[in-house]
Amino acid sequence: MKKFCVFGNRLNPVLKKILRVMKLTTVIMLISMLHVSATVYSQATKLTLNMEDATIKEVLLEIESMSKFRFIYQNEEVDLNKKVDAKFDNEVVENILNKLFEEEDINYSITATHLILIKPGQELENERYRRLVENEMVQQKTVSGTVTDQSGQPLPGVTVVVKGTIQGTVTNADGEYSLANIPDNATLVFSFVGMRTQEIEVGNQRTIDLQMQVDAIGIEEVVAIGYGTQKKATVTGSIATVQGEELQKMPATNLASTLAGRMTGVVVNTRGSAPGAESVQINIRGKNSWQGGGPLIIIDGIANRSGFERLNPNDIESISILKDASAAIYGSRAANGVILVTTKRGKEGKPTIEYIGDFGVTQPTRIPELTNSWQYATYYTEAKRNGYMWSDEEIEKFRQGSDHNLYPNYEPYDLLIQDFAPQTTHTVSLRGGNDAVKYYVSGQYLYQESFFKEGIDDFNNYSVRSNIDAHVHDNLTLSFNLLGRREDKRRAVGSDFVDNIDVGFFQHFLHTDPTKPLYYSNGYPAIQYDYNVAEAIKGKAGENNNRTTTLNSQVTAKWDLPFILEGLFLEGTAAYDFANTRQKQFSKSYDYYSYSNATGEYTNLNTTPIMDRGLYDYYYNSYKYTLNGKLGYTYSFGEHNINTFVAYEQYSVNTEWIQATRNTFLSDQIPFLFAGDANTQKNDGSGYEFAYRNYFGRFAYTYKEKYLFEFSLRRDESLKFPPDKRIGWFPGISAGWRISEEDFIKGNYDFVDNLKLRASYGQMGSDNVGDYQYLATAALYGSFDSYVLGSNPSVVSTMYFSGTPNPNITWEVANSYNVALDGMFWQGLLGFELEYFYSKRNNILATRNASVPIYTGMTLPSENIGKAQNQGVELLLTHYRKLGDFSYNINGNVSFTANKIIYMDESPNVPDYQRREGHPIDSWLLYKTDGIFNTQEEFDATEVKRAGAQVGDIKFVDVNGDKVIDDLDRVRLYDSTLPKVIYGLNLDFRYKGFEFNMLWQGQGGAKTYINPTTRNGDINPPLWLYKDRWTPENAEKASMPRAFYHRSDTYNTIHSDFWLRDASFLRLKSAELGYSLPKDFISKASLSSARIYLNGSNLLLLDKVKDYDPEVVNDLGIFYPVTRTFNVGVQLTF
Amino acid sequence: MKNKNIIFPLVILMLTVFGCSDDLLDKKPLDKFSEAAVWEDLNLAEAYVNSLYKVLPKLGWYEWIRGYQLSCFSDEAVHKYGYHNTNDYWRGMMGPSLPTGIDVWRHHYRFIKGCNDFLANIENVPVVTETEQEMKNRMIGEVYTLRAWSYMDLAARFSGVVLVTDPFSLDDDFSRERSSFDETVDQVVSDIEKAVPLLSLSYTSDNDWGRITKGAALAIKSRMLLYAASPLFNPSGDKTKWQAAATAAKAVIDLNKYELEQDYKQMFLTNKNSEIILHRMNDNINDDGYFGYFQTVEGLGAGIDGNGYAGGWSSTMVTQNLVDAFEWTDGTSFDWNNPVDAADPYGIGENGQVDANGDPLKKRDPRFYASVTFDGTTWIADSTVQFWISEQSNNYTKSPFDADFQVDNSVYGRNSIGNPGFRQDCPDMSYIYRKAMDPTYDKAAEQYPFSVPWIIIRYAEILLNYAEASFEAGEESIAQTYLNMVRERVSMPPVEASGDELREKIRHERRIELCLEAHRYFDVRRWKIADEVYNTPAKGIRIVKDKNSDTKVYNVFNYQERTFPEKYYLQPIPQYELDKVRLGQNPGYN
Repeated sequence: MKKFCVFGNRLNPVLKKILRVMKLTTVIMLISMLHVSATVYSQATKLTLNMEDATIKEVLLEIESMSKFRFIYQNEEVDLNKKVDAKFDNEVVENILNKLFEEEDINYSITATHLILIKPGQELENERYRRLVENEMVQQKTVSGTVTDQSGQPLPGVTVVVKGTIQGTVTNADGEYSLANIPDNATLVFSFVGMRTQEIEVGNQRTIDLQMQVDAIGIEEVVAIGYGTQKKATVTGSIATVQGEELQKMPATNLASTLAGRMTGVVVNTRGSAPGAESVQINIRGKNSWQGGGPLIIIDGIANRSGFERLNPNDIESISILKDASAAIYGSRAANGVILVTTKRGKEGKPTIEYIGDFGVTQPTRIPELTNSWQYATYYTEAKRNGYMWSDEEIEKFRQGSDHNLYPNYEPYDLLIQDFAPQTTHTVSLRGGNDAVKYYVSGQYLYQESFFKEGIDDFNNYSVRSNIDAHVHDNLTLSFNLLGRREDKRRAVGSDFVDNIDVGFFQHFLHTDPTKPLYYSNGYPAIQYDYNVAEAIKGKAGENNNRTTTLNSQVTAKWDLPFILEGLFLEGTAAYDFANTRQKQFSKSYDYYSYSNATGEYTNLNTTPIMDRGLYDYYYNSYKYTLNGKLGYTYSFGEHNINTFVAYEQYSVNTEWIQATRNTFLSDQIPFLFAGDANTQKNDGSGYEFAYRNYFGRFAYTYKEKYLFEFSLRRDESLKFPPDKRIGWFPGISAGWRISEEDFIKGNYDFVDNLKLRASYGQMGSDNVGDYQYLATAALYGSFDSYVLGSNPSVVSTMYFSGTPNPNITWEVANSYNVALDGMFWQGLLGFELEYFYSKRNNILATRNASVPIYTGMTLPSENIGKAQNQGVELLLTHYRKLGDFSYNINGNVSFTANKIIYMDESPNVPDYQRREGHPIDSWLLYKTDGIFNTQEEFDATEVKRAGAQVGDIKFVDVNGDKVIDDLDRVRLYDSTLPKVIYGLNLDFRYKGFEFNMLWQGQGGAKTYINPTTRNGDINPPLWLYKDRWTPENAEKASMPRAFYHRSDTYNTIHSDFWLRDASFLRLKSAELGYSLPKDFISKASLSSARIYLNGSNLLLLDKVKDYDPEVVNDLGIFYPVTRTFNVGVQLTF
Repeated sequence: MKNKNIIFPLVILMLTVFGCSDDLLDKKPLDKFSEAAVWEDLNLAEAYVNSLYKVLPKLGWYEWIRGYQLSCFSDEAVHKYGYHNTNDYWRGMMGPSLPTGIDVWRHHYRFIKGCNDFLANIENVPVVTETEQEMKNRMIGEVYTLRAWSYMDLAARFSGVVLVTDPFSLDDDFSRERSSFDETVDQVVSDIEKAVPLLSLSYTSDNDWGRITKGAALAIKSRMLLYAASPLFNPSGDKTKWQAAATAAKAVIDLNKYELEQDYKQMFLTNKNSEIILHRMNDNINDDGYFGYFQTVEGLGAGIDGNGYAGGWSSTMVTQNLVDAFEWTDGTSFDWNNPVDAADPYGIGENGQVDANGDPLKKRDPRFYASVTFDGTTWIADSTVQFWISEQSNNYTKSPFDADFQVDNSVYGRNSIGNPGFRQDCPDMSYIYRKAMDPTYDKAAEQYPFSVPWIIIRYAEILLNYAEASFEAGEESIAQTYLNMVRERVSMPPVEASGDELREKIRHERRIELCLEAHRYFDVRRWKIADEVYNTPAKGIRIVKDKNSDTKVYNVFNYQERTFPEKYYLQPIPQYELDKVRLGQNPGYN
């Protein structure tokens, strides 16, 4: 019987698994290309043999025992029973084999994984095929076929084995295989890493073509964990992962926003979407501390790298999110969770060039409608706003809009917002390598335009990445990562920030006065509040260019030390990140006109254009250095596996900035400082530095991959704390039990593919406080807060002490507990992950409130006195099924969190209904209301009213019953913009070359506060405020207060629950329809794959907020709206 | 295995060189000094003293406590937008949890701490030369005076407060009691007495103009003792307190350093003049400027357009109540019932009230024109301010708060320039704050340094302090003399009254002379006359022009109803403090 033999039959199970994991694809490809290939290992490994009269087979066995080489051959094809004398002294394996096969027609090839394939030489090969063709020698039948992946692409490297034997082969580069001498009752087993193993009964088939399916179970999947990777099966922590290819299905220009809805416990909210300046908030498992602080982001192993949002989704291999003690390896900054980003690396094989091009249009999900001229006039006339009252005849003139200059009726948004804003991205990547060098190189260009009509606001992003791994020496691998990126954000002057969120011109839109034209009937720009927003959008008031250039560089050397101890290695990483931000704002004035009806004349009010020109120039540099050294050891003996390391890491950062301004430019042609008036020059500058030093290690042990145990410990030093309080120790411990591996499951309940119980406990820190609070420092006031002396007045230096120092300041400490049960049944038909977590945060930095009187004058330092807890449940359900050519994948997740303040030194005098202790961290303190006074009767019947109330006003409730409505009637509402429940549903359907994917995402238990009338300036009342307002005619039905001018009549603008809205929503976050063109069709164009797709984001929205996007966080409702995107793209692989 | 030999040491080297650099964590803030450094260097200490000056009230943007805005808490002005809770204040809602914008508790104690820190450490600062010793003494004097200013201001608002004169540290027992009013006054007096010998009468360097002098310290004492002698704080009418107040005022006068400037209006616009005793220079950096904030936000901006109005928010609107209080130049009172007065209330010749030369028949006290912007006055670039609103004859008796009030825009068209309604920021009450606003500024000059001070104490106040204290102490002739010195400067006829009438004249003079300078809030309360003067709404005026006859009609209307509960005589100890510590609350707030 002819057998497919792997000598490694004797190998221990771990090595077997390693063999399985190996990319056999490349092995086969190499075989087809090369006869003999020398590898570094084969060249470096010298063998000494002294055998006499041994068969070749025995010699080969001996070589296997001495080295990493493993031989593969087919008995029928080569005869290894020939007796030889093998005497070699320090010879490389090639020389040995050449000698052994000297007289045989035998060929061999060596792979990078030290496999040596032995096969017939050319002569025998030809002979064999001749006989095959002549059908002479086939006694038993031969089965052949082609194996493809889900998209129909040939899949090389699939292992095909006759079940119950070790007879088998692997598919070639075209996915083809052929197995001879197959018994009739045989079953073929097809297996491939990352794919579901499939068994096919042969019966009387001679051709078996097979489409492999992605392994829904993911047992073999490898996930990134802190400072390493781990097989998903043996993971004991709570780690959510998402593959880069999934993120690509959404046309997002911001990587962070693509994470929403995909994973349990990862709360992602998009608060604004200005081009290149999106505001995306990520909270891992909600909030644990009122000090806030987001998750720690690690990009390719390096912390504190900026620009996570700007990473090209096409460069992402995977993102792992560490939610529990698995983050403890990051110690002092891990308390709010850790996001690990792994970028793509090269892989062995011929170079593949991939081009992905996206062309899309975006539009706002929601923009609150504003009143038009007659509505505006009606509203403010009712409000008796001084200077803003119109007669009925005048309002009628507005309605008719017959006199555009004096009584216009136009839609301001028509002049300010375009229907669609284009955006496009293009990525070209090159990926490939051999056993010596592997490379992934990519370049991306991204362009986004703003919603503003004829606006200049836009964003250009250019990035290149190069990830290279070089196996330079037998035991040494060097990796080089380089990322270069340039972000160009252009904004028209007047575009502004509210709460650090780029809101574009939406603040100006809110106070557009529709009773005045933006342009007169002759096309001249008109004036509103000394301003014309339609002109400003176009950059007439100047331009602000913000350019950030980033260089991330990183080199890693990994050195295996088998000569000291098998499994021992040293790894060192050095990273240097540089970023420069250059901002240049050149302001100028533009022509705008007043109009006199009496004379019919227009007067240009732009009287001092030279004076109005000013230049602000700003440079900021940051330099970050990270050094990491790691000594690791991986070893298996029998069923025991050990994986451990100790490491050292240090990080330091330096920043510096300088800024200068000049005004009064004679010309607006040259925006450089020299061209301005030197008498007006001002400048400023400063710097900052910081460092961390950390030691850490991990010990992981598994037995039979059934009993899992892990322990990590980190010692961190942070400059934020005084020298004697700097050091913190952060342990993490976790364990897992794979019940499905137990015998009582394995034989009896075959539908159980995986069942794992795991638990973890860890202590992590957070140092999210200002630096150097332990030091008594004195700072100079900036020019914003100066003092002026002298008969010829000039600014004098003023110095202040930066608050009372706290010599005891130290880490905020989180104690995090997690238990979970994972299961997978019926080959993916049902999978689940159920987690419960509890986290208690101690030492939260809080200022002592209750006990330190104001008259001490002290600016209190943060002290480690606060306590809070957070707990929650997360459930992930998956379902995968294949019906013929049709397959689908459903993934639903839901997460609940509930946090609570345990202690924060709250004043004992705070009434119960205003207390924070014992309640959720986030809350609003607001007046309680009960609708509005709809009628005079209702007004009269209400005994206690806030001073100044009228019919039609908001009805405030006398909560404490003291007959007065004052601050003590405010109640605490334990809600916030951060949801308590999040959920997501990912649906994926495939049929032949077609794919359809939908991601639904939602949240519950969140509120948002919107009241534009709190603006310290005039507003155009939004339509929702106008339409439902109280009027005598509409008294019973009205739900909004009477018309009022919020700046002088502040009764209704008081912060009250009247203005809170339920921010729960369900949205179709993204959807994609893709089609892969048939292979025979595209191969003519020398493409190996071609895919076209249509996708979109934020396509549907079900919510209660209505007028605004429910994710917005802005009291005034001013924000650059979240965008809806429609996109078409192609993905071509050469 | 050649490579191994190289690489192994390399890795080890890398770990040792980078890993064990001990200076990694030896970093300091790059944007700050250490506190210790301040007490080693006289120049840094001076920078610290400079920062303590910020306790003084200022005009600008970044410190909320603006002198002129205190007017909105008196019968002098209304804040158009109700800033600083002025609306709630006049609804009677001020209380511990709504201490409103006049609350200064936190502000002063922050600076008192700064003073205490300085006084506790300044002795350690080494000095070598005599000049340095003088500088050190001077700074100690400045800081004692600044602390006295804080306690004076606190006492005037809250009565007795917690007296803190040493720095606290984190581990201290923080509990303290409120001291009595008299003890608080004693603290002020004692700080001034420590300061006076260390301070000089004036500084040799012009760069130090604006620093505290001996005169400023004594003037604070004068104000404190005047307040202390007043009915609110001296219910028994103890005359010796008035005597002490008179003596304190006389001490300033006897310095012979100060005199009244001849030009009342210009005095507020001149950065250095002989009437100023204590002032704070406006700060024009980054829009914190005189023009950028004060002139355009509170008042009327520049570049008046065709209808006499442009820019400006008109936030601080002067009341009709104050306007009516200005006498005619002949010393008679203004009277709406007098048809001559009513036809040309501003004495600018409106409605044809001119003599043969075209001059107005009557003129108001010159201080009116220096203090208030009104319809028909001249402003930047000699343009005429127009606050009249329409040309319709049926609105003569209506105020905009009447239900059937309507504006007729038929002549000019709504959005046409030339229509006074064109601007949304016209003052509702038709008056705007003007004192210390300079009409010679133009917008283009905004970027350049300027020289308008905010005067905190000036010589005229001291004269009026002396007049009032002398009168109450029984010295009527001294009172008359000093009162008339103030009137004489603006060419107002001398007062010859006596007794209660003289008291009224003194109080009236103080209202007029020091109007809109943050005195009225304190004066009404310490005289305990709120019942009389606040028992009426804040009034505004509506001016309607008849399009046929071109005459203006003036309609006074009630702009804001006001209540002044008895408890308002003292401000509430704010709840944010009571949340932390038990302190006695002022009457009426419990």
